Amino acid sequence: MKILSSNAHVITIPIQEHKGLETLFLGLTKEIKCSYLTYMIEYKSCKLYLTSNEAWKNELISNQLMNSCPIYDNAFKALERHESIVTIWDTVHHKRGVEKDIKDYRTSFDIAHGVGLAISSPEWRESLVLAGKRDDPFFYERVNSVIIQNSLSKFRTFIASRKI
Amino acid sequence: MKDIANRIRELRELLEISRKEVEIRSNGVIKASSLSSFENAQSQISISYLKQLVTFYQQQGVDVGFDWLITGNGPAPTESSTLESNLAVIKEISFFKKMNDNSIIYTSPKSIPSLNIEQGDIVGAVKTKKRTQKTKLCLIRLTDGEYILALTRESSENIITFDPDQAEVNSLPLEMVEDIYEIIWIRKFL
Repeated sequence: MKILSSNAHVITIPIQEHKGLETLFLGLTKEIKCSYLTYMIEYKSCKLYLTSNEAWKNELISNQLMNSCPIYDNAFKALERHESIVTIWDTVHHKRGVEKDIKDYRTSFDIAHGVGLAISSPEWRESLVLAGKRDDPFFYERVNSVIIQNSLSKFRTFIASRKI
Repeated sequence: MKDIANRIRELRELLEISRKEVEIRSNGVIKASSLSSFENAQSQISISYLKQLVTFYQQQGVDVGFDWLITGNGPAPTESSTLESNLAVIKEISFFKKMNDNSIIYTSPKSIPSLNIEQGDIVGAVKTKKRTQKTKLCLIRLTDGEYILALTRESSENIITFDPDQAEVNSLPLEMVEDIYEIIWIRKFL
């Protein structure tokens, strides 16, 4: 099944539009040189996607590159058997062709070496991604569970406050 | 002493992980060899080491109290946070890379049920130095940059891969193979 289908209702919000989330992102930038932060929560065919990089969002979501990205594909398939999955981007092989092209394209936006967390519950699916710049191959080593849990908490608080 | 040893073992078995896995997950703080001797009541264990064990298992998402480990009193340990345990993989990968030169970490893109590998499992592998004719689980890096995760056997002329689930045997000419890495660590998610 595709991650994004044509009838999916996707709401996207730039992180910079919400002060609390922008503060989180700026803090992560300072603390671990995080240059890319996204959070997505899905309920049935509705998705709310928050991102620090609007330009890449247009490719990933609007042009549905997410459907061909092995990082999302691996994580969401594995999530069918687990409550949560952690993905270190650099350990996911991108095959020649579309997958490799997506990686190169993503890198051209200076987004690389990310860490992803996907969580499933009976009704919801969440995914959180932190990534660094292309010249920062050890970015993932600076990400720890405190940073991830704190970021997750901030996004969940934001979602709760929106009453969607 | 025997009871404490049993409880130490019980904690590890709750997570269904090997002693070596404990060593990796604790960044080498808890040595597999020490844990073995404590679990088998072969040596005295210090209070500080017991505290280390409690802290480690709590970090792995096990709800366990120090009193229970010492005396057996109080609630028996349970798994409380799979998320915390799954997040620990980030540190474990860093540790694995630091401990193993010429190693590679790879997320399995497919399930191999007969080898208990699921899609999304993370495997750690080290480059093989000498040729062996034993069949091993390996990650093969091809000259075109692609990877094959399979049971592998080397001969003087080619590399044989075996997929037990599909009952498929393939032969790869040596010139197609860039490197062979032997899988020594498989990290599964809870």
